[in-house]
Amino acid sequence: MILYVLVGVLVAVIGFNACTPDYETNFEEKTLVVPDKCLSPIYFNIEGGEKEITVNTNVPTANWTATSNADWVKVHKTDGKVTITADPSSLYTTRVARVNIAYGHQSYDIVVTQFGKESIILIDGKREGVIKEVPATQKLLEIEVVTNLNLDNIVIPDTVSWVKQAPVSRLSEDASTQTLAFALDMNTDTVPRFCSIILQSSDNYDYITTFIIKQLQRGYIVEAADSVKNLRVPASGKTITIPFEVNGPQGTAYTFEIEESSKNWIEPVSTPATRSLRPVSESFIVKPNILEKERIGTITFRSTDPEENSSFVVTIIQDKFVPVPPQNVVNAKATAGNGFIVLSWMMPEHVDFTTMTISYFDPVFKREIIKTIDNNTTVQYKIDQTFKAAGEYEFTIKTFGPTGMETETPVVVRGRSEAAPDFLPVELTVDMLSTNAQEPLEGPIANLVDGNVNTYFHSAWSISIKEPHYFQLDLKKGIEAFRYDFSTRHNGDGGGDVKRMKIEASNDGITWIEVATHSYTLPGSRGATVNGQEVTMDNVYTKLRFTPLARRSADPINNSWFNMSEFYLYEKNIYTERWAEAQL
Amino acid sequence: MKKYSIAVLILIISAVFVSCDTYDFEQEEYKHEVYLLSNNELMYDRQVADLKSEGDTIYLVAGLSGSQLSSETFKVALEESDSLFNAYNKSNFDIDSARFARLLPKECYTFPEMEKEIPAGENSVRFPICLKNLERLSPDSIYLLNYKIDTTKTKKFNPRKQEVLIRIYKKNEFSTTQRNTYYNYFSSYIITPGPTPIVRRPTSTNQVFPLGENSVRLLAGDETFGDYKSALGKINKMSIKVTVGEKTPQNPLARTLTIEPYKDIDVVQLPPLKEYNNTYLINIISTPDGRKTYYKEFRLHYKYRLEENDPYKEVQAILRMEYNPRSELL
Repeated sequence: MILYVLVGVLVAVIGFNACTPDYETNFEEKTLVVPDKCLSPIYFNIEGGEKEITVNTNVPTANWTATSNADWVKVHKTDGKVTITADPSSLYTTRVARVNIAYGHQSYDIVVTQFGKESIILIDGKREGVIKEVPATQKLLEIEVVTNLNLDNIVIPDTVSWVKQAPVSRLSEDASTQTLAFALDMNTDTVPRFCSIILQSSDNYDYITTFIIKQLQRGYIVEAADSVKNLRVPASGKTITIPFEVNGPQGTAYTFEIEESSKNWIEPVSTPATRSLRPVSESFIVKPNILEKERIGTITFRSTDPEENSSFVVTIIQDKFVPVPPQNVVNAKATAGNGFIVLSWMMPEHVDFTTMTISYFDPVFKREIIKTIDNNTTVQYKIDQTFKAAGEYEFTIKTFGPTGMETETPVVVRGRSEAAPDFLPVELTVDMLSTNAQEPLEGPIANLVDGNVNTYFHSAWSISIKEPHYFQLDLKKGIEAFRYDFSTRHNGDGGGDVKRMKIEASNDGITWIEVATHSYTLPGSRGATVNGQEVTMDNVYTKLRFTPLARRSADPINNSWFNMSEFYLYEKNIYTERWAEAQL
Repeated sequence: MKKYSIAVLILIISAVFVSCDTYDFEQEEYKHEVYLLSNNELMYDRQVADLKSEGDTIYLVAGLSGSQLSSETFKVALEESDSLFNAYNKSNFDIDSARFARLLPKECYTFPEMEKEIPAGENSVRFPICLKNLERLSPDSIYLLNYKIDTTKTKKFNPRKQEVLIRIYKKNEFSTTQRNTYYNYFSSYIITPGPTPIVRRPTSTNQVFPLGENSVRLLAGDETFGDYKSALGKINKMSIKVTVGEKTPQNPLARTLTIEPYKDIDVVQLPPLKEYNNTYLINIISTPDGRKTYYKEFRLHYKYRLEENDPYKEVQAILRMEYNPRSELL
C-alpha cells in the first residue's frame, strides 16, 4: 500500500513540474495612448503655428514614432508629448497633412489643416449672377475682373461656338484687375442667346467665379455672298437661282423688288421663302435677249423689318444677242413601237436655241409633217400613226434661236415602226370612273385603274343597293368601237369574279342604250386577266356603263356585290397596218 | 493481490517503454529527383511583377524531391522550349489565333543563368528572371515563358515535371493583371450637353488595367465593351489612359492625374471642379470610434467622344476601390 502512495506522490510531483512554464511570464505591458482630446483635427492659419500633443506612454521615447506625411508639418517628440509645427503657407488653398504617433499597433492619426491666402475673382464685385448684355452685332466684349490669382482657366462651354476668348496680355499677378476679352460672332437669330463662362485659377481650382454673356437678338435680315451679287445670263435667257440667307418667318421676313425697267424681262418664279438665318433662294426667269446689245437689271432684296436696315442688290447683266445660227441637239436616235416611233436626243453643251422642230415625210398619208417643240429642254418625242409598211422614216430635227434663226446643222435620224395595232389603249383616269354601289368599307373605285392587280374595286355588301351594281366610264373623247379586258380580284375565293356583264352607252348620261352583253370564261386563278370582246356601236358615245349580271358565286347576281381588280379599255384603231398597206 | 498489482505495474512500465520506441523518420522515403515547380497544368503563375521603371525579378524554381535533404549537389540546367506553350494555345483557343497567348518578347526580360546547382543540404534553387519594359505589354494579352530541364546536363529529374510555363502578370499600385480589378463609380455624373442636357449617374463598376508604373487604363464612360474575349476593338475605341503624377501641395495623400486617349478615343482633360479635381487620392475615412476605411480613388473631370461628330460627354467621376493597407492585395 505504501508503495502505491509513493508512486502516486511521484506522479503528482512530475505532473506539477510539467505545469511550470519554461519562459518568463512577468511581462511589462508597453502602452502608448494619445488622449481623445488631442486627436481632434488641428487647424492652423496662414502664418502657421505650433501645437502640443500629449502622449501617455511607458515606452522609451526612442522606441515610439511621431511622423508627418507633409514637408510643411514638422513633428518633434519629447517625453510625454509631441510638438507639431506648421510652416507659413504661400498657397491660395487649404492644405492638409496627417501626423502619426505610433508604437507597434498602437497608432494614432491627427489631421492637420492649414488655411491658405484668400482667393479673389470678382466681376462687378460678385462671384456669380453677373449677366453681361451685349448687342447682337457687338464683336468684342471686354470684362474687368478683380483677382489676385493667375487666371489661367477660362472655360467656355463646348455648346457655345459664338464666343471665343481673345488673346490678352497677362498682367502681373500683383495686379488687382485684369481685363478679359472675348470675341463674339454676331447673332443672326431672332432670339437672344446665352453663354455661361467659368473663371478658375490653377492657384485655387476650388474658387470658381461664373458670369453670363447675353447676346441680344437680331431683327429680320437678308444676306448673300458677294459671288451671287453679279450674275451674267446668256442671251437665250435662263432660269436663275439666287441663294441667300434670311432669319425670319416665311413671307414676312423680306421682299424683293425687280427694277422697274427690268420687269418686262425678269420675272419671279416664286414668292419669298421662310425663318432663322439660313440658306434660301429665289428663282427668276431671264427671258431671251433678242436685242443686239447687253442689258442690265437689278433685283433688290430687302428686309421688311422696319428696324433692320438690311438689304442687298443683285445686278444681272444679260449678254447681247449675237445673230449666229444656234447649235443643234446631239446623239439623236429613233426607237420603234407598235404604231409609233420614239425620238430621243441629248442637248448640246451650250443651249442657245429656244424652239425645235421635227419634220418628216409620211408616205402613208403622203404629206410633210412638222412637229414643233416650244422649249429648249425636251429630249424625247413620240411620233404617232407610223406603220411598218411605210418602211424607213426620216426625221429632221432643227433648232431655232430667239429671233427664229434656224440652225445650220439639221440633225437627221432614221427609224422604222412596228406594225400599227388594231386597237389602241385608252388611258383611263380616276376622274373618268363612277359607280352607283361603292362599298364603304373596302375596294375604292380608283383601284380599277391604279395599275396594281393586288388592289381591287368592291361593290356594296355592307349597305343595300336596290338596283344592279355598275361602274361607269366618262370618256374625254367619243368612241365608236372598242375592246376591253379586266382582271379579277387577287385574293379571296373568287366568288366576286364577274361572269356575265351588260354594256350600255350614252352621251347624256340619262338615256342609255344597251350595246352588248358578254359572258366570260372565268380563270382558275386569282388576279388573272379576262379578255373581253369587241364592241362596235351604232354611233360615237362618250359614256360607257358596265353592269355585271352574274358573278362566280351568284348567277344571277340579284343586285348583289361583285369585285374586280383592273379594267382596261382599247379604242379601235382606224389607221391599222392593213389600212396603211392599202394606201401605199 | 500483491502479485497481481506488481504485474499491472510492470505491464504499464513496459507499455511506456514500448511507446517510446519511435519510427525512424530519418530514413529517406523517396528518391532525389530535380523538378520544376508548377501546378497540375505545369503552369507557374504565383508571381506578379511590379511595374517599376527599373524592372522587377521573378523566379523559376527548381526543386529536389525526397523526404530528406540530399548530401550531394545536384546540377540543374535549363533550356528554352515551346511545346507547353503550343499545347496551351491549342487546348485553350484551338484555332482562335487572335486570342493566342504570346511568348514574352525578348526585350522584356533577361534570363541570366541557365545552369545552377541545388547545393547539398538544400532542396531548391531559384533562377532569376529579370523583367523589364513591361509597360510595353498589352494588359489584354497573355504572356508566357516556357522552359524545360536540359536532360543532357541534368542527371536525375522527374520526367513529368521537367517543363514549366511561367505566366507573366504585372501590377502597379492601382491594378493588376492577375485578377480583375474593379473601381466603383461614386457620386459621379456623365453629362451630354444640349438644349436639354442628358445627365446620367453611373453606379456601375469600371475595370482598371495596369499599363505602366503609374498608369492605368479604364473605359471613358459607362459604355460597356461586352464580352471581354472579343472586345479588343471596343476597348481601343472607348478607353482612356490615366497617369498618376506627383503629390499635390495641398494634400500628400493626393497625386495629380493626367488623362489621355488610350488609342482612338477623343478625350480632353478639364480643369478641376470641386471634388472632381483630377487627382488620385488615398481617402481615409475615419469613424467616430476610431476605425478607418481606406479607399483608392480616381477623381476625374474630363470630356470625351467616341465619334468625331458626336458632342463631347462631360464626365465628373469618383472611381473608388476599398482596400486594406495592411494586406497586400493591392
